[in-house]
Amino acid sequence: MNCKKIKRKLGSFLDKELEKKERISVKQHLKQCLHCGEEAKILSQIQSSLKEWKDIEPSPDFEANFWKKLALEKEKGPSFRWLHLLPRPIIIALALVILPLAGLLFVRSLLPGSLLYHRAELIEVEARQQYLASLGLNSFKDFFPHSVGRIYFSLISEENMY
Amino acid sequence: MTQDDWDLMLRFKRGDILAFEMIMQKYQKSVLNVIYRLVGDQDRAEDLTQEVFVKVYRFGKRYKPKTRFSHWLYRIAINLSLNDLRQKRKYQVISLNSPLSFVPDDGKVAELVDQLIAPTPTPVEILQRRDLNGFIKKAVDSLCQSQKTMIILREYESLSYREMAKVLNCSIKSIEACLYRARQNLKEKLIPYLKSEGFL
Repeated sequence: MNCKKIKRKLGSFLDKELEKKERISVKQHLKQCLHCGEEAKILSQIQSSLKEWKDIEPSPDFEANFWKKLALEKEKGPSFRWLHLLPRPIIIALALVILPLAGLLFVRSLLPGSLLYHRAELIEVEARQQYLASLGLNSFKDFFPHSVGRIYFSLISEENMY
Repeated sequence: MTQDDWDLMLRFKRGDILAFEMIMQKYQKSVLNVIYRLVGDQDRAEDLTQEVFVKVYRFGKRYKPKTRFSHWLYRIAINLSLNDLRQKRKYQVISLNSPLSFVPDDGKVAELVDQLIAPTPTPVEILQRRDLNGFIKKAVDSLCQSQKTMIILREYESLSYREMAKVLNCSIKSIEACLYRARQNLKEKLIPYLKSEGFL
């Protein structure tokens, strides 16, 4: 192995993550090459310097605060915060499947024959009957011939009254 | 997952709260320190550590020992921390009233402000620079999130490459490559200090 390859392997060598064959060849190279030996020394010094960033201790009321937080979470009930635990690509993939499906269902609900469309029709019929009743009529056929009311209802009900 | 952890989780699944408390006592410091080194703020780290254990409490009953328990914990801790950092970055504001700190909660913005406002360090800053703990913290904090996460798991939690690959759900090759880049970046940041202190 040349110096460039050895330098890329030094971190793994110091971490004792190299396989036996590679470890021996790096070790032999380091005995001969001052430059790579210096690089290994620097990396090793950096590793020990990193240990200077000392651990912190949990505060004395850590567990008490945890139980309070848990009680609050239980009060809140189920939420969708678990979504944050999913990797982002999975969330995007789910959204790409769910959103078009939801859109399709919504559009279908507006088309004739759907439950929502049928419900809207019933409301319209009921409103018309209420209107007729408010005028003292039983059906729009009872409107005076050629009156605006009769023409209007004839058009919207698609009934040929003439 | 060690036998101990699995036994404790089995007991917790059967409703033994004491077993859960033992798990929390065993791992709270380790989880707290992973999060602290990722988010850089002790109070926030403690808050997020509690959230990790809330998740364990709520979803622990569904947990199956396919992965080691500690790996599962690390994964939750890392996800929550990175999510918190994303949120923090989204809503970041710089106060015009409060004084600037040399070792800030979020290195990047304050570092930029430092460079703009105080190109020559004050005596206090020089003293703070000499604080190795703060210096190392700043150097690690300057790494990108993936490099920082890997350095933390390797150097502070002593995870093997194989374990890191399981926690982070990536290949050993990418762990090696990312750690190499992280160490090169740290070398660049730390060499002037190590030389000035006579370590090299």
